[in-house]
Amino acid sequence: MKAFLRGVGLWSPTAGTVASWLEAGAPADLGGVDEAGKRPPADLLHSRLRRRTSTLTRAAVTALVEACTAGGAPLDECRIVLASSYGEIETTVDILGQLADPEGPVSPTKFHNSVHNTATGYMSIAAGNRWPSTALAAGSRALEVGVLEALAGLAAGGPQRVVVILAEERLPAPFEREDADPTFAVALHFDAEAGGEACPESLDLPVELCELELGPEHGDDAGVGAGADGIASTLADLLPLLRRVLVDREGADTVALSQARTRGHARRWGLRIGAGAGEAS
Amino acid sequence: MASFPITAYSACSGLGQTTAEVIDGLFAGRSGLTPADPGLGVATHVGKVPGVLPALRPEVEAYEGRQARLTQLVTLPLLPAVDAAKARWGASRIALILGTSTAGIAASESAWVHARDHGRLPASFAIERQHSIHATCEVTRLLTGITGPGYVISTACSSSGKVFASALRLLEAGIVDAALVGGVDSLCQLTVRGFASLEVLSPEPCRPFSAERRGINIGEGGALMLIERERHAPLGAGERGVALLGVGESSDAHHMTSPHPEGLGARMAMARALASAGLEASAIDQVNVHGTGTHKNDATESRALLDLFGAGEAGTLPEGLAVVATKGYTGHMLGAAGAIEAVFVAATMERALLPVSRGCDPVDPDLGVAVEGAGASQPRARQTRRALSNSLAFGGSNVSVLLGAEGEA
Repeated sequence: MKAFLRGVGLWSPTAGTVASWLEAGAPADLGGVDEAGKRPPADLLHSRLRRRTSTLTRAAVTALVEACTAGGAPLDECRIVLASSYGEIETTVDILGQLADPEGPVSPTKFHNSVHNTATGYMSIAAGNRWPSTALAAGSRALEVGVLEALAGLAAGGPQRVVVILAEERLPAPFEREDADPTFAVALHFDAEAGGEACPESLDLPVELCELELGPEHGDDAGVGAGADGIASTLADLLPLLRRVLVDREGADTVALSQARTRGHARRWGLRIGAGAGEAS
Repeated sequence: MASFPITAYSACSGLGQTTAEVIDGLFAGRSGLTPADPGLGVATHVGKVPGVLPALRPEVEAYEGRQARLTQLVTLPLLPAVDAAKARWGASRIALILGTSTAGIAASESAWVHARDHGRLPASFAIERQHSIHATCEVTRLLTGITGPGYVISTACSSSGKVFASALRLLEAGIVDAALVGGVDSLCQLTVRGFASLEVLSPEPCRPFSAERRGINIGEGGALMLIERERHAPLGAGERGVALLGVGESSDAHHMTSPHPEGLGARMAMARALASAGLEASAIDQVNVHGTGTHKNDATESRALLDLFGAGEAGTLPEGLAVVATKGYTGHMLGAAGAIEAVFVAATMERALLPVSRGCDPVDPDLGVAVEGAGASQPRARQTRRALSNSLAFGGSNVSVLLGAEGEA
């Protein structure tokens, strides 16, 4: 499955855009600061909607708009695939606190904002986008599965344009974990066509999904190893792709989308990037 | 037209722990709804899977919780069929795509209280195993030995309808040759008290499409379907097969909890399902409606049906189109609703019987829709050829799954 990677968007507490992340030297640590008070702008959302939304939703919306602006994708003419392990965890944990009081009220707004597809719902409403969107969780395979789901959709018809959004919120107390991802959102705009001259900011990188060898360590023991049911860091998989696409433009042909060893998985995929990926069909 | 046979399925719900109890309950007109635990503080009915749920097998013990037990309950009966599919296609050529809205949040509710009272989470709680959405997939992966791509769709009440769309894409792209799809949801405070806060829970057993409907009941349970590129062996004499023919998805772009007032998103999902299979609306002779029993859902979904299927004089559905609502049996199983209702549609085709839409009497005349089983107590003998099954969700996330009886031109 071939496509063009046209736009990238990024929001983290230390880098509000791709440009500011690059200026900071493309650091692996996207969190690393006190996150309190760092609110993504999410200008796409009307203030009436925005004040009700979580950091996750705002970060995802902010990254979506940056990717689509760079790639030249109309916000109402794309499919959206959101991949997140813990989704609207801040809102969910707020509700757990409300539920702990047997007599207490539960906020209806927090309730409907706790679903995994909250961000895609708000995006669709704000942009008037009636194309399908989806929200999924895949543990340590979030990036790989998000891209698989997205590019398979391009092949199947519908809008020839899809944005994959990877996003997490730092796990709040009492569920905090040092091995979990910090708050971040990254959006990747894939398109069947290159943007060309009409979209001067479009990356227009040809990409092709390719299946990777598992490597000798896998052997017969696909059932062993860390990963699938671990705390799952999506950033660890995402950073090599971001660096290859945004920093090291002459780098390796192929970037893996998941770790080599993940319990229970006998296949993995990568993206072949650049001229080797050939023309998108 | 794509046609991927469904070679095995399983289900559990308020109607019972086994597939046979669930399907027999549907055609016997039995209710799976019971008064909610008073401890919830909400006067409503729920579709709770009855009895003690069997203990987890050692390989998935670490996932202990109601969600994992329900997942195991629907997974174990399919092991022989999955083993046959593994032998034919290879374990890595099978995808595992499940839906859930609750995941294991029931465990997180008690873990939060434990942390408040003791200053730390219970030793038995790990967020990635008890709470996380993808844990449902891992339980099924560990039990089945499927090693292909796996993920969980969580789009609230359309989750396990949308798994069919994802499976179809992976099959059509040639990435896999089979997919185990479905959904599992477990009862918890969050959904019952959350829907209570939205004032949409019915105090009595829910009555979709009835003039006297008062809202939804929350249900739990699960359903799985094994979809393959082709059957291993031809169907036996008298056996009726069922296949996945297409899926349509849409977004309302309207409101987080209210459906589009004209049912636009629902109609688009159904129309796209037809388009994906290259069929006209006239090819459909059954719709399994989302039919939650709220005023708004049933009214806007009826509007969508009339807009898509209404021919001749405005506001009339074709006589041969059976409109079936099944949430009066199970309650609204949220993230598992799409999957169990696909199982109901498959059973309807296999048995050539249309179930009664439990609780629909008296049907709301304002809806303008003739509902299957109105005024009846017994299922009706009729062979469905092709059916759409709708699931509509928060965030305006809609899906319509197109199933067909095999060998029907």
